Amino acid sequence: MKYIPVILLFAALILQSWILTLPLVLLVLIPIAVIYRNYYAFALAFIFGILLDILSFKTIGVTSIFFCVFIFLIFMYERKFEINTSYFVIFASFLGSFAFIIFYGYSNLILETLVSTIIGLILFQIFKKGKIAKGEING
Amino acid sequence: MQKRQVIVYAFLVFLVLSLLVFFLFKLPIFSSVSSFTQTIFSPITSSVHSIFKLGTSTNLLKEEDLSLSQKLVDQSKLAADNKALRDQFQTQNIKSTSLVEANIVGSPSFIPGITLPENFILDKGSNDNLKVGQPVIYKDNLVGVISQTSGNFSKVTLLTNVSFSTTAQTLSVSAMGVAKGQGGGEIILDNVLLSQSLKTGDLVVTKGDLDVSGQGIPANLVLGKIVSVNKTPSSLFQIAKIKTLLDFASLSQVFVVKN
Repeated sequence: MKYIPVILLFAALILQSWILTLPLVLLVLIPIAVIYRNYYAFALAFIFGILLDILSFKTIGVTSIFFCVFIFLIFMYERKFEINTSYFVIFASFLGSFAFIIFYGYSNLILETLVSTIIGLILFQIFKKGKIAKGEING
Repeated sequence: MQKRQVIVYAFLVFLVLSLLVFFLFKLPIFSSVSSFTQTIFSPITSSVHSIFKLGTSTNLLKEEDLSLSQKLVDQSKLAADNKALRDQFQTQNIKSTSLVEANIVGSPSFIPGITLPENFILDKGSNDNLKVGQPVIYKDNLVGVISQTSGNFSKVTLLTNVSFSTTAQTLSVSAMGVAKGQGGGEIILDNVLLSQSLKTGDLVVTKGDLDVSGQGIPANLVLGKIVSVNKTPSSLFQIAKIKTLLDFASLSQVFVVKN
């Protein structure tokens, strides 16, 4: 179970690099940041941002900066809101995907953002269930 | 240290690292790192790509459709080649053994609907014994002469090109003159004596300017048809405008006369 986030990130990396234009890596990073709430999220954002740039032949480092700033913004909301909720994940996934798609100039902005939000929510539920099953957080 | 402080420090550390990577990877020495990572991931991604892109029956049908379209194009080209060869070998003027068939692979500065071809690039060159000065024909019509050759390609100056000229005569009364390209698809028959009779509709053919080695333009190749005659009593010569019988823009295959 410990390595599932990393495995999911690798799967998202492969899919996003060559198959889809959805920001899957970001959608996996959001639940990791929201549920685990530690600095590992920044390390993962940094590493997978660079890998994503290399594999999608983009300027290396740009996606890492984007991911790190976005994860930091999530942590900024930690005091004001309860971030470990579906509502917050929907909000974060929507905003994150919207910004990412605009940033990279992909087409179908609205449709892709909506699909990304749904995927983000599903991933959050999967992560949350996994944590509850392990008894790390209370349902 | 508070958890919040740890997160802020972690953010700053990774942000600085990202910026560092951003600037460092602009240096050429780091390009090998990128290509190394791409090489590691290439087997995984190619198999994922094939599953997603070619695995569906729709994509297989599209592939088949593309393959059939390619076959159709090949077959049409083969039929056109056969027709051109059959037509050429039926002409009696030049022996088929002295002809080299060549495909037109380029026409510099030709923009359909705006400009007309002035030169052709053929897919045969000095490796096929093509030489500068050899005439290029289609059926019994002169297309132009080879003006430049490389190993596998050669350039043909068309008879409408301003740099083209050859001695010519009309078919009916053998009125002699010099056929000159004028550019823009026009040819004129110049230097025709006033005493000679030029008629609209007369065919103009080459007079022939072969040298002792047999190189040059053979006689009786059609240049075109007279469309207008400019004859003024005060001038020394009369000039006729000639219209070629060939549509250069639609030609795809020609024949080079070796000797």
